[in-house]
Formats: sequence, C-alpha cells, structure tokens
Amino acid sequence: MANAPALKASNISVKIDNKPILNGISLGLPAGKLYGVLGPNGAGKTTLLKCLSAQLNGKGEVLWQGQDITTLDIKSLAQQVAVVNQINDTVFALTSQQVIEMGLLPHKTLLARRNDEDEKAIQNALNAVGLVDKRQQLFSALSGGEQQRCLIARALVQRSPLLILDEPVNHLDVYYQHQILQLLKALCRSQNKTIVVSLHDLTLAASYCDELGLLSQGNLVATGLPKDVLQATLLTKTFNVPCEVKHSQDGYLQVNFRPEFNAQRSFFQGSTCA
Amino acid sequence: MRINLMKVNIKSPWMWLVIFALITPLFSLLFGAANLSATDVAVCLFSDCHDEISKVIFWDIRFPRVAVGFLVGAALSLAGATLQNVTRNGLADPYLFGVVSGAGLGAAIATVFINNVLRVPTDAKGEAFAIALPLAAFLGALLAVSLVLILARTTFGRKVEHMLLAGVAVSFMLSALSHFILYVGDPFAANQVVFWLMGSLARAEVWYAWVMLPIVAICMSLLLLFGPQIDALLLGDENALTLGVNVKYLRVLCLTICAGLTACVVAYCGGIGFVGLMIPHIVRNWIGVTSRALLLGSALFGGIFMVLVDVFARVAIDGQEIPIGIITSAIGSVFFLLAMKQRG
Repeated sequence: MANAPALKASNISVKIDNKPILNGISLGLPAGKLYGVLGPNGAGKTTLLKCLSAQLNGKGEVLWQGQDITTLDIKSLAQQVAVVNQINDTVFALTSQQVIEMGLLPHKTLLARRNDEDEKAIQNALNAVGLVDKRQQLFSALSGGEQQRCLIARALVQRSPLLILDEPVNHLDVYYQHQILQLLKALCRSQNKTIVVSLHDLTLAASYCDELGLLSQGNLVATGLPKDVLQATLLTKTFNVPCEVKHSQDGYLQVNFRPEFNAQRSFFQGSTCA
Repeated sequence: MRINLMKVNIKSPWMWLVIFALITPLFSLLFGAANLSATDVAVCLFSDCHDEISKVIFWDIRFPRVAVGFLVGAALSLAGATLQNVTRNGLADPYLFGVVSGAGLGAAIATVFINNVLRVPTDAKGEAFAIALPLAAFLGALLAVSLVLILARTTFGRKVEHMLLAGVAVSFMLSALSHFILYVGDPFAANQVVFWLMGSLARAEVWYAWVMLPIVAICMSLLLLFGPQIDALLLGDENALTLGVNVKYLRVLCLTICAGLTACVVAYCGGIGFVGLMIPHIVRNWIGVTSRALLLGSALFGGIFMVLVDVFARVAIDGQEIPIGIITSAIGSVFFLLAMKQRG
C-alpha cells in the first residue's frame, strides 16, 4: 500500500497535573512527507511532538512503520527518530562539531571508533546547513539561528528516517527560515524522510509543508492539505486574531493576521472574533 | 617502530602531561624529613638500597606516599570531572556533593565497630581495617549518592542542576553524624575527627596503593568507555535520551563509580577537599570538555598536583608536616571563589 501512513497516531491524550493537554489526537502521515503542526502558544504542539517521538507517553498509540514506538528500546528508537527539541542549552564549551558528532551515538557501540563514513556524514550535514566554516567554533558562541542549524545537522548525522523538530526556525532570519525548510523538504524528497515540524509562521508552513495539522486547546481542529487547513474563519477562531488568507495565482497561500480589522473589540482580552 | 621526533608537537598538552606525570613522582621522591640524595633514590629505585635505613625510608615511607598521593589525586579528579559532566555543573565535586562525607561516615562506623564492638586485638587491626574501611566507606558513599538522588528528585524539582544543593545538605548531615559517632564511640575520637577533617598522606603504606590501583584503573576504564554517552548529557537529559542514551542508568552508574573512587581515597587518607573541583576545571579550559579527554587529562593532572602538594606539605615547615587537606582546601577555596566570579 503506497499511501499507508508511515507515522500513525491514534487517539493520543495527555494530562499533566490533571490538566488535559491533548485530547484524542489522531493523524497519519505517509513516508517522505513534511508535516507541519500549527497552533497558538499552549495549544499542545510540543506535547504532541514529544508523544510522536516517544519522549512522553500519553494514552493512545503511536505507530512508526507499523510498530508501536513505545516498545522500541532507547537506542533503536534513536536510530528511527531524530529530535530537535525547542530548548537546547549547553553548559560547557562544546564546539559545533562536537555537538554534531553526537548524532553518531545511536549507531555506535561503546568501543566503536569513528570511520570514514561518519566523517562523510558530518561533512555532508555541515554542508547542508551551511556551517562548514563554523565547525570549530563554540556552540555557545553561535547565534540562535546557527545553533538551530547546528542541531539540525546533528539530527541529519543521526540518519533516522523520522525527524521531529520543535519550532526549528524560531531564531532564524528570513533567509535561513527558507533555507532550513527547503532543506527539510529536500530531505523528504531525496531521502524519503518523514518530517514533523512545529511552526508559528503559517505562510511559511503553507509554502513548504505537504500537510498541516492545526491544534487548538489540545484538539486537532483540522488536518490535511494546507489549502484545506488554512481557512480564514478557522484560523481567526483558533488564534483569536482576525485573519485573511490570500491565494496567489501560482498556488501559494499567504496568511495575514490583521488585528486592526476588529480594533473596537479587545481580542487581547480573549473575546471571540469572526 | 621508529618515533619521528619531528612530528612531536611541543604545544600538545598531552605531551607535557605525560612528561610531568613521569617526572613529578620521581622528583618528589627526593624530598622528606630524612636526607636521601638523588643517587640514593636512583639506587633504591633501580637496584638495592645502600643500607637498611635507606631501604626503610625509601620503600616504606617515601615511595608509598608518592604512589598513594598520585592515585589519590587521580581518583579525586576523575570523580570531580565525572560529577561535573553528569550534573552539568562545573562546581560539582565529591566534597560538595556529599560523597566524601558519606565515605567518612562509613569509615567512622567501621572504625568504631572494629575498635569498640569487635574489640579486634591491636596486631590484627591492620588486616581488619584493610578490608572493612574501604568497604564501609564505599557503602557510606553510596548512601550519600542515594540520598542526593532522592533529595534532588523529591525536594529540588528533579532538576539535575540542583543536585549540588542536595549534595551540600547531605554533606553537612553525614559529616555531623560521623563526627558524633566518632566522638561517642571512640576514646581517641578527637584524633580521628581531625584526621578526617584534614586529610593526610602521612599514614600511606604500599598496600594502600595496591588496593587503590585496580579500583582507580577499573573506574577510569569504565568512565572512558561511557565517555561519548556522558558527553550527550552535556546537551541536557532530554536531548541525551533522543540520542539513545539511557540517562537514568548512566547517571546512577557514574555516581556509583564516583562513590567507589572517593571511598578508596577517604578510607585511607581522609577527606581531601577541592581537588575534584579544581583539576577538572583547569583541564576543561586547557584541553577540552569532552569526557574522554577531560577524564584522562584530569587523572594525570590530578596525580601531578597531589604529588607536588605533598612535597610542599613535607618541606614547607622545617621538621613538621602540614596535613595535605589543609593545603588543597586553602588553594581550592580561593579557586572556588574565582570560578564563581568567572561564572557570575
């Protein structure tokens, strides 16, 4: 079955301190697709990504290539799923290369040494994220965007077929936002990687993601193709900010939030806008 | 195999560490209360000593002291480097982490038990202490590590960075307990307590080194083996988990190894403070942060440092010896303040 989902989540629910964070999320994603998770702050995006990467066990089931990911041992899981988490801090002075090399860990035994293939993987990852000239620089001395690219390079070195990235373009300027998402899309196409990424920029998500999922207060309110998910009414309701969606002739979508549309009502205080 | 001298990099810190690790112990054999010339030392080392007195001074007093000193420095530095990397806190050290106090408590209980409860005769005490002391110290150190883990989990909100706070609390708690046990249970308690507080190499014997050597070697090999996994902890527990590292088991394993290293030091030489804090700090800035380099560098540098401090302890005051723990604590406390300032 060519279109059978490689990643399938069924009825995922998570409660933290008795507070529901995710309510029965179900989604399926074929291999080689870039899936964007959207939603306002606190909607449950990070929690969903943690469930999909087995960092968090909620109710429900997450299947990767037909196997329940919670049944994989830690090392096998790392060989299957690479994760770039939102908060990454290093306390000691690691260089970029040392951070990237850590992506080799899931493929190495305790006594294994680095080989030519590993070197090549590191070099390719550095090339892909444009950090070749910064490989010996301290990770902590890199800009936010460079740190993000460095962590993506680490995920590439990990060579896992499933990549999960929590807001990977958060600290990046416009140029690198596009560069990183182009890179992720190219990885889906050329290496058949399945990539799940949470994003805040809806226009960017529409431009690069094959499918989107929109979360609101722990519920998946829409999932599917960008044009089906990015509906002005739905977005206005979800983000509580008036919004318009423009369709260009070449098929691109542009999402604009325009608070002045409804200036007489204080949407910042939580009133409903439409 | 021909060594190409042209390829030897004189800027390599490893070359200097290895050279000093070989030279410093030999150099330190020249110093002590009795006069032994360089020739006497060389003769004793590579052949038979000239006379019986020289033999006793060299093989029973000086050599054990240097060998034990090097191993003590290496063990404490290894424990400090490991604690700093697994807790992601550059100020972690077996002393501040409570491991020294735990080992001290174990040793105090063993001392009182052998002296007061078993009433082991004086001539058999050597053997009894040889086995009981390190074992009890190890159990005490394990108790301290367990308490730190439990406290860090229950009281300090599971944040690994806060483990040090739990360690300081445990350290005070166990120190108070061991001093009380020694005070109540041993007629020579004051001496014992002072010994633990100051730390000393003065009682070093050759068999100390033979007990410590395999412990340090095994612990170091294990830590080097898990080096890349320990490195992953530097990125945080969450990231280490996604790289296939079993964070929980690795941390418990590393803390147990630190308990073993610290216990074998404390059992024979008392609490020697701040070596485990200072040496890894210096080596990290000099050689690098990754665990394998840090551990190897710390072991060598720690050994060199302790041997040199012991020389100073022997020669600083004519005819007297300063307990080595006083010197390391004096240097270490200043270093601690400087490190805090650098972080601040």
